[in-house]
Amino acid sequence: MSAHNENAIAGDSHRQRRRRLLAALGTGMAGAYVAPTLFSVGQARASSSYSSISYSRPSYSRPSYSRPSGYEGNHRRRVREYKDDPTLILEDIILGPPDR
Amino acid sequence: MRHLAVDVMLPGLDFCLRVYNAPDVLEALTLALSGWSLMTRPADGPAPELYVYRDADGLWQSDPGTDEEFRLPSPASAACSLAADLLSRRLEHDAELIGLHCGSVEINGRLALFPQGSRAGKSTLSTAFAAAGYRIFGDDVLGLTPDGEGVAMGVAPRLRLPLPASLPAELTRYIGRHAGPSDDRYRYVLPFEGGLAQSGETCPVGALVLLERSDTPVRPEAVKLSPGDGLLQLLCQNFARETLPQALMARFLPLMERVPCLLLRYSDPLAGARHLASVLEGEGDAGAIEPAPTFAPPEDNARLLPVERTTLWQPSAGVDTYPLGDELFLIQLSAGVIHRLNLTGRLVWQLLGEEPLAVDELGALLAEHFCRPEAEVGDDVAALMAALHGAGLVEPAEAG
Repeated sequence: MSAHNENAIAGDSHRQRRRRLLAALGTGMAGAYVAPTLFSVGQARASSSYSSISYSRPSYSRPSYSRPSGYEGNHRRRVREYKDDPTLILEDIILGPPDR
Repeated sequence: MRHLAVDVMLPGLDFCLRVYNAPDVLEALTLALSGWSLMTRPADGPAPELYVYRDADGLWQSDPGTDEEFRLPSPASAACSLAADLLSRRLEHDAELIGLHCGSVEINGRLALFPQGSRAGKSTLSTAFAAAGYRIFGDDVLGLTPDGEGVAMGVAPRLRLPLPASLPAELTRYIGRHAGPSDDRYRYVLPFEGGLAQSGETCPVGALVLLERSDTPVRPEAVKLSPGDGLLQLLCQNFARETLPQALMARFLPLMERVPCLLLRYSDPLAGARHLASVLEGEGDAGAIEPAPTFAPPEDNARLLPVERTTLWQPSAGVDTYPLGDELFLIQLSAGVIHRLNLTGRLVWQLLGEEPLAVDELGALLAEHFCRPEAEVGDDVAALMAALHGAGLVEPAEAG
């Protein structure tokens, strides 16, 4: 096979491959170009040019049931293990817990 | 005192709450959970994991799963705290339900959902819908069935105090007339009879609505968004911490394929509620679809190494793909990370699915497809490939 024919075959093959790849893109999109973007959940941060969505949880930390905040400083260890004896809690209410 | 200690039974749940020496907490809880038919009986047997009581130091609630108790400032706050625990149990009890963090209202026999984070306006808007005569399914939590139906949790909406001075007088009056348990931080609002769906009541989802609340007066407006915006919001605003991303996608994707996603812009919640209702009832127009958000490149992107333009790239193994509208969502199965590609990014992914390709060739193909300058598109593709490579979504094709 001549070099000319080899080049022609290679050219045809290249054009066919290119047509196949372009066909894979579909049709009707011309003029609708926007730069390709990748957005990873966990890096969410709406740009200032699009203030319409404020992803209020910017990371992929899903919300937890919202117990009202502000109780954090008011914890105490259980004075007794009430599960063991249900009357203890009533006694503590009436008489006051021991060693408080 | 009548029934110093009572057990509160939750219908349908093998679970009870014990209340000692705190009838005001019981009353507040009964009103806050007005969509439940709570049953009480004299306390009997060992104390359950969840209990609340009052002693000389105040109100105390057990912290389930720990050996601690925490103090509650008021019966209304006790109702808030207990409702959070009870909803958690409610959703744990029904493994088919996924808990969504959203407000929800029934319009025309379908639910409009507002999946948003805290302080986005869900409760105020839900209350505004109640004031406008609509039936609400909740202001904070909704169950979602595998069939895409919403399941009410039966909890009255709860507003933060003080109320904004900017609320319209009509809504402020409604909130005053329907005030439920309150303290200096929160107020429950008890809708009209039948205005709050009962716990377990279901209704098909009809729309997702993202909220844009304005501090300056604006005319309410509803515009269409891409379904990907709604999907992303559902992926972020749910309580299914233990559920794999693929399972969440299987639940949310079909929903977003069939219901519209809207953005509601408003300043007056009551006007916003009425406008949205008119749109969803077919009386008003939603505007043209908003462009998909253009996200600022993550800070890490600045540190991404540029990719060699002649290297052939292929998709990494272990990535599931989910097309939605013009976009493509990807899940890295090993890490459970979710990614979103816009239309052009999706086309790049499609091309890489055909065969390994280099940046320059990808740029040339897209430039021809979109009739754009090859240099411009090539630079954009190079940036995308750097991000894809940095995220582990593509890898160099094996030689040969």
